[in-house]
Amino acid sequence: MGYRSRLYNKLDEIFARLPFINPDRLSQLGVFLSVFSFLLRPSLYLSILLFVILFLDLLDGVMARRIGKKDVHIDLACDRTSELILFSSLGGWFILVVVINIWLSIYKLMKEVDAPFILPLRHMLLGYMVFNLFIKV
Amino acid sequence: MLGEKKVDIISHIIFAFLIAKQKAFSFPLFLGAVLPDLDRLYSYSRGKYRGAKSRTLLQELPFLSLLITIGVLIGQPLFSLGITSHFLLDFLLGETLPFSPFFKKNVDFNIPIRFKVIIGGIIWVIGAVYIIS
Repeated sequence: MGYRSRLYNKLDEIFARLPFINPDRLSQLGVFLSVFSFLLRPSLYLSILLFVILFLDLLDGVMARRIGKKDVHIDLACDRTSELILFSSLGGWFILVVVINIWLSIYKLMKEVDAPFILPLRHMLLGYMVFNLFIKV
Repeated sequence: MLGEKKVDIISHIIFAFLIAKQKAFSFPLFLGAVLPDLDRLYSYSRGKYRGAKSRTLLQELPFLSLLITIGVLIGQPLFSLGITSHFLLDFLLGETLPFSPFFKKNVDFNIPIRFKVIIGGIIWVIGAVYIIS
């Protein structure tokens, strides 16, 4: 069993006691929260918002596994939309990386493969912002 | 039916200007906000302003991602932002086929119509206040 599977199994155990929440609603909430990134400059608040969004993303995966949901269309669409919003709010050329991720997602769906090559852009952004915060401190 | 749960074009325009924090008129932003609904011109020309179907290639992520890329490459990020805001509003409030034409999987969060009307109203009011201020 790979480290990712072990990690997911562990998370499933931890979250198993949580009441059931529709995973699609969690994904939708993540997209909705992403809109607020336009109000926040890269700061501690944006880092916290991003952390909450990523936590919701993690949680929707756990909930989807609990009900044996195999369809990843909504999850992928929500993730890419969330990335589009977050990286649009930053401006510049960052958005092009999201475009690449959109096409990687389509490739994943077409080939029906587990695609670790989809770039974890929001995780990278969070890491970058936290790193910047530490530099400032 | 697909396409009937659509967000109106005025809300798209106001929403784009709100998230871009643009008070002055910006043509690239305006164009980005309306372009995905360009196919609706046909419906409008027939006098069908409400409930007209509109869900073509122009509306979904694969094609929109190309438009976003063009916007960035030609140095018009506001155009890309307009496109993004349009898709976002449709995605959250309407009914989309995000990976069309490759997949025809329908994504609809089934938000009650009264909530959509309330959100649309809030966007219009905030937009009006923003413009007046």
